[in-house]
Amino acid sequence: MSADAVRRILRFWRSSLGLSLFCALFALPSTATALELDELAACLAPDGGMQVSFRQERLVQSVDEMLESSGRLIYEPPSRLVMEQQEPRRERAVIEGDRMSVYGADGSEVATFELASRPGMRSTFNGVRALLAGDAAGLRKAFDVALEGRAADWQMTLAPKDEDTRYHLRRITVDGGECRVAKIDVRMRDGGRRVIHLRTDGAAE
Amino acid sequence: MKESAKTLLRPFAILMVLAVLGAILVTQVPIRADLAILLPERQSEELKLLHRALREGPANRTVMIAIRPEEVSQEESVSFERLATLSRALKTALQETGEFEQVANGSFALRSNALQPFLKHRYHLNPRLDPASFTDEGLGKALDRLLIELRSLGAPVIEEIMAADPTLRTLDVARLWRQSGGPRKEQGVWVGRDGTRAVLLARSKREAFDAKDQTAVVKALDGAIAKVEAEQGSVQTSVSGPSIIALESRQAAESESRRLLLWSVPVVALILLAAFRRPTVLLASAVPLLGGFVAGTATVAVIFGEVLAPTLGFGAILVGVGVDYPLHLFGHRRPADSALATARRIWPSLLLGVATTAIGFLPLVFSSFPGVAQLGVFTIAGLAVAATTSRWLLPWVVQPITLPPAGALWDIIAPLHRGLGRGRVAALLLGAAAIGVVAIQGDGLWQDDLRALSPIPEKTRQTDQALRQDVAATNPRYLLAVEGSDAQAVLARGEALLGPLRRLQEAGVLDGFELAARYLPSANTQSAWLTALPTDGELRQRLSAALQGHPFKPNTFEPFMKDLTAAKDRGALQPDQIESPILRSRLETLMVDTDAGQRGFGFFEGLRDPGQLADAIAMADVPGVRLLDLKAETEALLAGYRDETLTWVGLGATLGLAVLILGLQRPGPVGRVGAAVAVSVLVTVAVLVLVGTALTLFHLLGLMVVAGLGLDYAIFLRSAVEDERRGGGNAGRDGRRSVCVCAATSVSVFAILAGAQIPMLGQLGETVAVGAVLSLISAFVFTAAPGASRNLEPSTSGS
Repeated sequence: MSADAVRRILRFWRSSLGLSLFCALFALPSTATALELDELAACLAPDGGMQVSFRQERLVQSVDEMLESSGRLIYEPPSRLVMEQQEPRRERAVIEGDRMSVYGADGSEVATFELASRPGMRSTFNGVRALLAGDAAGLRKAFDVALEGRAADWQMTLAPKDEDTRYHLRRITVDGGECRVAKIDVRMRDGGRRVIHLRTDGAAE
Repeated sequence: MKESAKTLLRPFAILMVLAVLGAILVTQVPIRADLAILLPERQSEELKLLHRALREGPANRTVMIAIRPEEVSQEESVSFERLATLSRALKTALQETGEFEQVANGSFALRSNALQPFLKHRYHLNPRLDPASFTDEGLGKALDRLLIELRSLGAPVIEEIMAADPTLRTLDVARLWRQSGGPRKEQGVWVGRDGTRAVLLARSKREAFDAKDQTAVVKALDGAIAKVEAEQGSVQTSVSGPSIIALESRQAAESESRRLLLWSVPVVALILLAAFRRPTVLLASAVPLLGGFVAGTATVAVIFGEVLAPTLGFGAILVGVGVDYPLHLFGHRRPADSALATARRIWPSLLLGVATTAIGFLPLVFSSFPGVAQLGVFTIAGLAVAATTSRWLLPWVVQPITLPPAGALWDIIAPLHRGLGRGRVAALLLGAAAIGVVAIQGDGLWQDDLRALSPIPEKTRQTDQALRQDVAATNPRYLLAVEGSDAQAVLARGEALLGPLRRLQEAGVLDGFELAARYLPSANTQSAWLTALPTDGELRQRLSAALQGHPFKPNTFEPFMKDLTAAKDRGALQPDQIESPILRSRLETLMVDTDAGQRGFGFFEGLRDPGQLADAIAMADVPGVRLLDLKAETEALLAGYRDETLTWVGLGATLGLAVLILGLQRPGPVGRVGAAVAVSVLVTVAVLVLVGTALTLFHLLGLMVVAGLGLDYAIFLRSAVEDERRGGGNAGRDGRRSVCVCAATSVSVFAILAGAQIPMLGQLGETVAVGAVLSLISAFVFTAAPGASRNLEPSTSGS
């Protein structure tokens, strides 16, 4: 099979239709019993990479309004997260390991952040990565996980376990329905907040 | 057995005394090991300054490192991502060693601590500080930009600096310092020209040319590489830099000396034992050698105040010719003679040989190459002492031993000697042909690359060159020199060039340039900037106006107003007030404090039209600014060096001939000895040229040694023939033995030297090894008994 064909199939699966079809057929129990993290995670887990559109709102201490930006979020297993921002400016951030590198539209490296010295950011990205990877064990390791609601409409609350992280990051709330994440709401201790809306049916392909 | 123990005592005692003297000298006299030693003193002022700047600047502590995964073959391409991973891992590992004050792999990490120096000096550094940025309108625009930046992916850094720097000038300043002059970059790291390996620069905290310090640095490097290998799988690395080269060449020199000793001592011992069958001879032969070495070192120390390390090495080799003198003493000893009588008998020949050789080295003393001048003094003093020791001290040393007379075995050389005598015409023709070969070469005879004179092993040099190409973006040929009485003068002159250079950049004549004034404005410029800044009151007013319609919380920008007022009050920033190593090191490579005042250097990237550049600089007409063409300067330098070298040779040969005429007095012997030497030297040159060798200074030194050896052989063989004519029978036997033993030792020692990894040692070795063989043959040819040759070639021996 040519690489192209493989890519095409993967793309199909990644698209919302393929993904929900897959989930509906095999993964999610149709009963409305209490939702289990492992089941949810298994259903969230893409087989291959995935990309979704995002719209982010951020609240920082010294500014009175939400700072908006949007673009696409790409997850490349096992551990790479790429944010391709379109607004306000074309930029790309690659999060891998304990490092986030930001590249300008021309591909030049604009900035690099060592996440080790930014526990809040690190924890947020690790959470997002674990969510998108369907990594239940990873989530449990880093957070106290509380899950509410039903399969069609659930809410997950992630409270960091690590002392250092707790000092910066209050909690992460994740809303979703079926096998997709709709919103990630990150609240910082200092009043800062980051809300990421994800949309799988959007601009993809 | 008892007797032999007793005979060893005297030479042993003398050697001990000499060894102690030598040890005292070597520890007390300042010995300078310097790679640029062989550059002539007379070189142009600019080149000298450049070399000094390059030698003393922080560049010397910078180590270049290339890294690539092991498993990939040269042809296969490595993914840039893989290289970036390795590069980052190595950078972290190097930083963790604590040995390096700065490690750069090309990644532009906009970390707040890396921004700190730019934040601190943001109102004193380039780019131009525009007062319009601090008007109501300018501040309003700045706040708009700030809001956009806060929405960008780099926002975390912006959040950290926004209160103090809402106009984000820190980023503009940092960008200017960061964007310039880089090697090729992929995935945010330097990957070298062909993109097959990641390259890094690490500046150590240690002294660049301190052996112990650099050993520690190399150890840290190895440790960091091992750590990367443990994490990332096996890698290939190569490392270079001035300090690494200094260390490697020192190690190479050490291992070469070990190798030379390890092989030559047993070989020479074997030859001497075979010839004389007395171990005492071995020890006794070392006496004039060591005496010569001590005398040479002492004389150089007295005259020059210091000794260059290569002088010691080469001096030891050149004085090695002096081993012939004791050998003559032993070789010529006849059973009936006392050692003193032998010394007296051979003294005229010995004196003639020494005097001629020493005089031949005399012009070296006046060389403008400090290393060469020292070598001349060393050799003359060393040979003189070796000869006088052989004449007056050695007979006493070897008095207790009875040497075996030359065996009848040596008589078989006599007919060979006579036979070779028939080849005089052929030899002269060969000499003439050699002149032809040399003449055809013209200037191609000489090695044009100054680097071939380097004491650096060839492999080390190649590694260095490849790495340099990978990390350098600037043109290595053209260089701007800006002189000034102080740093401010240099900066002001540099500033005057910024306009013309920027226009050239816009016109596509060059891609970029490096100049201190590009980063640090002169004090006058800074003062003008600061004066144009608003006062605290004005700024508050304007900012509050600009904040209307912007969603920032009140009092957010208090730090900004405090900083701006502080910058105004502070006044201009002088270069020596900059503490940040990142800023300092950049300025230090572009501006150097010398005895003759401050020197600024300018480098060019992507220079396409040097002519236009030269015109623009001439048009700008800034005093104290010169565009240097290093290639042209170096070529002129080499031409001068060549001419000077040839002058030495001519002068040395003439002086040597004069001494020969004084010593031998009759034209016949002078002609024969002179011809023997001339033919052997010429044919040696021709052989070297024919095998494709480009001649260097060290070949030339080798040729002077060849001339010295040739003289020695010819003079002693001639006196052997004379002895035979007067004494008849086998009176020439001991003379021939002596010369043959001398030649055997010289050829074997220099042949071992010829295999050296260090180019200049190898060059010296190959020249003398070939030359010594040719000298022996030539000496036989030209000194053969006139009787024998008269029968066959009446025309050539008519004198």
